[in-house]
Amino acid sequence: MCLQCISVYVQQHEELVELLTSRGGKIQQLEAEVEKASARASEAERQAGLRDAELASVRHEGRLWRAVKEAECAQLALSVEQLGKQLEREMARAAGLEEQLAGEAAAKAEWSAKARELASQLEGAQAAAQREAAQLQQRAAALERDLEAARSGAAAAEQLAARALAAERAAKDGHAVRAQLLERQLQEVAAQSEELAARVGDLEVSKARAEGRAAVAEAAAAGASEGEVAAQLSALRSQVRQQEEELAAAGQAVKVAAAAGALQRQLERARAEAAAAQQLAARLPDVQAEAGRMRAELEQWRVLFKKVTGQEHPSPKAVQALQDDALRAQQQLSDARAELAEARARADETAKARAAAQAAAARHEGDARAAGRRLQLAEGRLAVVRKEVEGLKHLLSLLEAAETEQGGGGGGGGDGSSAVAEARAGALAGELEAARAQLASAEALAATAAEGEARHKREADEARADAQALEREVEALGREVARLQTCVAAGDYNPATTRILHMAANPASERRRLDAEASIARLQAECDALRRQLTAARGSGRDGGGGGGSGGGTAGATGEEGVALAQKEAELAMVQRQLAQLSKQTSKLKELEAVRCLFGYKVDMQVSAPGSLQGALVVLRPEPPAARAVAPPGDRDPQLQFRFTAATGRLELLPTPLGRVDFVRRSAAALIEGAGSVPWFTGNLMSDLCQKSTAGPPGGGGGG
Amino acid sequence: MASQAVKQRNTISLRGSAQIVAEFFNYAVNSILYQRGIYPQETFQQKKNYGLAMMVTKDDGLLAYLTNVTKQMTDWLEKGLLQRLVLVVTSAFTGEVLERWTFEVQTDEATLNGGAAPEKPEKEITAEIQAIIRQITASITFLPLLEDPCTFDLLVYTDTKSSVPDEWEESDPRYITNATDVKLRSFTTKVHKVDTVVSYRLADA
Repeated sequence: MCLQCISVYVQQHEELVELLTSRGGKIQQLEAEVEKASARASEAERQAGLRDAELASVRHEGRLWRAVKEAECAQLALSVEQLGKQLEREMARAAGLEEQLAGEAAAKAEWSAKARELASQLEGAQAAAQREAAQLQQRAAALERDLEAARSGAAAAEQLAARALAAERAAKDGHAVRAQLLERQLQEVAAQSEELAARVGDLEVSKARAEGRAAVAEAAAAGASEGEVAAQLSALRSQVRQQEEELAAAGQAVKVAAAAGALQRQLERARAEAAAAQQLAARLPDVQAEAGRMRAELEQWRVLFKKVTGQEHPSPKAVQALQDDALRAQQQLSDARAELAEARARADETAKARAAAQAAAARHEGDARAAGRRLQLAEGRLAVVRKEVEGLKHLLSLLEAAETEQGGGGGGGGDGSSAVAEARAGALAGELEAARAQLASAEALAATAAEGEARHKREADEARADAQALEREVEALGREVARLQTCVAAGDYNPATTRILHMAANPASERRRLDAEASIARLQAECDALRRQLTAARGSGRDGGGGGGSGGGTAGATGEEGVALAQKEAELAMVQRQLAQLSKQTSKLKELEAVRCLFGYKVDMQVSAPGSLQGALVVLRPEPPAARAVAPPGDRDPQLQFRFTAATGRLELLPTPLGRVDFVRRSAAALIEGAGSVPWFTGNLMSDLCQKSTAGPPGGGGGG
Repeated sequence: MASQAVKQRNTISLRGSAQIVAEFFNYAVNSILYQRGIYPQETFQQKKNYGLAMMVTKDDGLLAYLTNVTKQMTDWLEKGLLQRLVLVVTSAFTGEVLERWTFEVQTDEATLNGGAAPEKPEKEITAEIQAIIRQITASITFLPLLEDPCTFDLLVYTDTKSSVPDEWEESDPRYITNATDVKLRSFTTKVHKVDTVVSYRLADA
């Protein structure tokens, strides 16, 4: 039994030992495991501590971050608030700019309408100018006809003068030849007369001798035979006949000598005429040069006149018409200058508005850029916040993962710290949500700010485009101003504020006066010389007619001289008629000018039937500036017309555009019809016109 | 003391400025008449002014005319009524305007209304006038030759408020056709500013 027991006991002991051994191994294992577990626990504790420290630091960082984020959120809220206020201001400013732009657009439209109106007025003025040009062309055609007539007359006068000159030269040559012939004849006649005188003396001596011989013969005849006496008588008779013939010849010679005296006188007259003709011939080149110079001067003046006005200038009427045109042009020019001044003022206003719009657009752009920068800053901050939020999320996920790992083996301490971490994570999540909400609101504000900025940019672009359009308009106006300035560069002035004066006795007028006096003196001298020649020629013609009957040889010369004299007389008469006509025209012009200067009216009188004294039409044209101040628009030739009736001796005012002007009509009713005094009416009218012209044009534009 | 004397010398009154400007006009007109050959050289004599040898006329008639014009211009300048002086050169044969020498005058309104007299050293004014006279002399290098005998007239642009003296009458502006303008220097006394422009007719091609 015991052995069995012992063997069982040993067996059991061995089993126990094995069990204990195994258990010991297990215990060792367990101990090792416990050690490992404890190591793990300590490690976990250590890690938990680390995590606590991390959590603390994260919490601290979270608190800091929260504070920072709160500050940033507050700042963002403030900046958003400021941006909102700025946005409101910008919107208000944009609204103001819109109003301004609308105003500028309205002003631009108004200006465009005014420009169109001005353009239409200019077109009307151009049409009126074209009509005036047509009228002037008609007048020019009439003046050209007058000029042709004057030219033909001048050409005829030139031809006559040339013929007269040729005739005078021929006459001079003829005179010279005749003078030479006459001189030779005179010399021959003188020689003949001397011979004849000698022969007459001889004949008288021989006659005396013959008488003596006749006496002796008679005495001898008393004692001589009849035959001898008859022979002697016949010889004596033949001698006496011969002597009578010689006496007759001597008498002829004496007559010839007497005629030679007349010839001598003719010769002297011819010499005087030749000397005068030589003087004329000597002056001929000067006269021709003077005539050529005057023709060249006239041609230059005509070319210049035609270049300036496009028409010839044959008469004072054309000058008056040109002066009227010049005054009208001056008035139009002053109107254009006034319009130019207005356009300049408008351009200045437009330029100022453009500058203001540009400044506003620049300010707006600056504000938009600043808003954009702030927006970019806010967006950057938002991006940073987002990144931080993502980082926090990642940290939270890590913490949660660590907590879940710790949840199985961490024990009670780990539970407490994980709860705190969860609470912290929950708080952080809440803060994250709040930050997300703020981010969303900030993004909404940023979007609104971006929209506002885009709108402002659009408005700024529109304002810039308007400013460029205004700049183009200003440049166009500037070019127009420069063009008008170029057109009126020499002598531009405003007749409303400026008057041009000069001394009446100035060097230019003195020069003209001296030139005119010199030409008048020269013409007078030529006229006197021609008169003297004519008188001398007439006298020589009369003397030549008295002594020419004795000499047939001088008849032809007298006839030629008579023809030349007749030609000269005809030319002189024509020149005198022309001179009288020109003097009459000049005196008439002077009278008209005197009337205009004294009374302010240019007077034209047209008699209904010349020489009949039935009546006349009297036209009064007031001084152009005065009349233009009150004349109705379109009345280019303001005038008053009076009909004078010889039967009643009264003047009747006829209806004209100027006469229909209100104050003129009233004045006529009061002073002509009421008081019956035309001079009172014209004087009163001139006084009113002068007052109105110095006070300036009436209101309502257009200078009239 | 010295500074006060200098200050008094630099102060320009309205009357003093008018005399300076009128004297300049007189010498400028004489220079132009001499340089452009409008009157024969032997009718001029030399006279020292502005630090230059100026040529002035010794013709009695011309001298009397210029004296009358200068006297009247001084009166207008003192009243601020003178706006412009224009010397017009015309051909004696055709009467065509060949040159226009324009002297534009701007008056300081403050001084005209009795304000404080401005200050400017006399030397500066003299130097500016000297430069203009030199330019007038040099202008013969580019101005066309006056072949025909010429005469001249002086036109004065005044305010319409001014009365017309007995010896004066209204005139037209005497424009030039096909004109070219050359702007010369200007001078100022701080009371009056004078700009100079010469317009001349381009020769026909």
